[in-house]
Amino acid sequence: MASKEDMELFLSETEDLIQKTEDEILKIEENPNDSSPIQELFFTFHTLKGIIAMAGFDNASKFCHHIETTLDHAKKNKISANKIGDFINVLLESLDMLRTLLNRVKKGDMTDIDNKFLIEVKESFEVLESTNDIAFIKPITSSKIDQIIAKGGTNFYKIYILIQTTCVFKKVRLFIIFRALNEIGQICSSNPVPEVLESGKSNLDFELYYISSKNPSEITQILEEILEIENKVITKLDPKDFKKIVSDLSATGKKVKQKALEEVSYEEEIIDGKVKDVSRIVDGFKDTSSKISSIKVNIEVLERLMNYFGELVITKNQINQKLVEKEDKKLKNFLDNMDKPFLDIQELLFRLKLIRVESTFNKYKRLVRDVARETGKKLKFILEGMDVEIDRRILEELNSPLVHLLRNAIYHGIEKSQERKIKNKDEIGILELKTYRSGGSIFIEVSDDGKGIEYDKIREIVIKKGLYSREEAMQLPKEVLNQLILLPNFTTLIDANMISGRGMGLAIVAENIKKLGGSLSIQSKKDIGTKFTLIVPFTRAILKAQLIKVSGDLFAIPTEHIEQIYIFNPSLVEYEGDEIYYKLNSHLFQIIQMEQYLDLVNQNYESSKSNSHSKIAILCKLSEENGVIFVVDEILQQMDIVVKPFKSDYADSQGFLGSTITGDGSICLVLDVLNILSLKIRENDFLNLIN
Amino acid sequence: MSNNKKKRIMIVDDAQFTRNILKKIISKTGYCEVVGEAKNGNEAISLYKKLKPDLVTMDLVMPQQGGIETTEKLLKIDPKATIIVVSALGQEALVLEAAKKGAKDFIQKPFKNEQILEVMERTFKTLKQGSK
Repeated sequence: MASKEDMELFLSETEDLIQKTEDEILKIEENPNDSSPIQELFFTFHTLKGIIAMAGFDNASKFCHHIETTLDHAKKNKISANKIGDFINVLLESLDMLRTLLNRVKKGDMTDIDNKFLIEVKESFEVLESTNDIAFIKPITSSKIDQIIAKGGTNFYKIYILIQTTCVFKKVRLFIIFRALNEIGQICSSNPVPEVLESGKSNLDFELYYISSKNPSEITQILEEILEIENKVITKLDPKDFKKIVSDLSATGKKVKQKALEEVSYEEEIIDGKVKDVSRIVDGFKDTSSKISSIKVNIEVLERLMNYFGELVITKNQINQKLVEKEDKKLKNFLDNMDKPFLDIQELLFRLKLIRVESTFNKYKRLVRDVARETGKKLKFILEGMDVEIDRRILEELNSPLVHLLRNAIYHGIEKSQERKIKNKDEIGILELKTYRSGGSIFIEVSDDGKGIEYDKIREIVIKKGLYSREEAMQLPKEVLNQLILLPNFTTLIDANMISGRGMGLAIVAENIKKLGGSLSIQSKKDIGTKFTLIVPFTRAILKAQLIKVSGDLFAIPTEHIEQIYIFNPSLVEYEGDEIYYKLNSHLFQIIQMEQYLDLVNQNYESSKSNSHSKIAILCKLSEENGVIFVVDEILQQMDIVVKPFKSDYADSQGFLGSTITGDGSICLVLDVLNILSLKIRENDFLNLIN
Repeated sequence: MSNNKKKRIMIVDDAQFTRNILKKIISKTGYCEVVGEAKNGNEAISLYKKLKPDLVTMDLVMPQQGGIETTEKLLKIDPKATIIVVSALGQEALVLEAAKKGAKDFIQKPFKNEQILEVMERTFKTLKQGSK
């Protein structure tokens, strides 16, 4: 029995291999002619087979063995182009199965892969390797028909067949019908043409042109034995008519056939990813780091290390405070010497918690591919900024919102090729996931060049729901509508299709981002596309913060958001409607009186102090245009703080990142500037527009 | 003697649950009876040789020897064997493969009672007519 450590190693190693495998499989799809990914896969599965067997999973190991064998075959005899799609699918499904196994193992469940799946995968691969199609329709020339007529004894039929709508395996159903008919005759032609019919992609009904020496009741009897036939009509045709129809069918059929083939191959383009550009993944980040210069550390260990260090920082701050109080300069100097190493350690620890977004975002290639196939859409997925680093926790939390946005963009944003052609757009849509860092925040943009949000439809809903009158609604600008979409009560009530699905679940996405202390904004233009911008904090653990005092209470503002600190000058205050603004360099910034904002009007405090002291104005900016002035009573020192997030029950407390303990041991709340700002801006848009 | 007239069915499925359901439905027909049950391909083959049933229902995914292989082997033993594939959803490729190996028809799980009854009716009614 392997030890716990062994198993952990096994898991991490296997997971890495599986991820690597997935990348290679997708490479086959990008370029089916390149055999090197198959070679690579062959070795990876061989390795997987080995370690999985060592870990005691016999079936899973056999499972890998089957895949390895198939890959070996594929390496030697090229897989035919029309099967490569299925081949990739089976490979991906197999991977998923291994993933399921690993997830079970993680939870301590050591059940091996079921025997059934083992056989299933083996057979799926066997089916792939065998060459067969359901070609039962043999075209017949008119001279041959003449011969048959002359010979006599043969009946000419048109057989109309309607398959039940409940039929799931249409291709097999057709196979069985054709086989049965061909046992007592010969299908010569069909409408729709054989190519379409045999692909199993046609409608449920079709006509067969059929010759047989049997009489109609015998044919009926044969068909009677077959399941899932809703209706059938057997018509005896005059040989001359039969000849004419069949030759007409083959003449017009040639055109139809050509077109049908085009359609079929066109669909296959999407399905099999044969065409190079289809669903090709363009990776903005070229991986150059194949050298192994890292070791694996359990993330829990890191977390603990961070916590201990946090305690240490707090204690150090407390000692510092005491020394300042006692005016012990000598000792204080010693303590100050610790600052540098403390900073260095902090920096390093901080780096350890960071992870490249690549680690998660890479997985979206598969997601995008699968959804594109599912929806039959052609698109190019561009990943940019994969080397941006972010706090692991935040990256984890970002996963489900991003998956949602990406799926949405493919489902509802990007149009099908035909539609794009009509709109004069490039046939291949573009879906972009772009990450960059600016200030203390990470910006993640999910943008598509699809049809954009249908604002008129949202306006209709606004009117229907009685939120605004028709005139008002028509005046509402996009920005307000964007905010409306994100409101939970608004979106859950509307039909997904009403606004091309954009609304559904967006509220949840917005909610999740908010919980992370981030914000979500939308830009969309009809037929140009939609861009979702997620702004999330870079990290939430240790921050440099400015301590402030409001009404005698202590708060902290992360310095990364602070642009400038001024002495509050009442002459710069300007009033506009109900709002108060502060004028700086001919730019007006809205004032947030912290006292009021935090609802902290302290009677005693106010009478004794507020007038004797000039207040402080802190300028915080979200972007070039968006900023506010926080008016506070006092500023104190800046310090490194360890943010302790609120326990989940209270996590809804908007406007705060969490709490921290300052040098003198007092507890102070850390303001979530990003959140306050975006809320304020949103509110403003509303007010401005309504007034 | 009336038993002799009944059509003899053999069920091949690795799940007892499915076998039981099939058995119940088949007995309802009145003119069919289940004469044997096999839970994998190997069992199916030896049992078939012994029983020579009129119809075999065949699960596709089973341990040891799958339904496709078994179908192929059974038809080698008896080219006239009537094999109806009972498959799970999403196995179109497998079902097609089984059909190519000679399975007569197929139904999907979960099946309804009527579907099984229809299979028996279509198979045996027509066979009766054919033998006239």
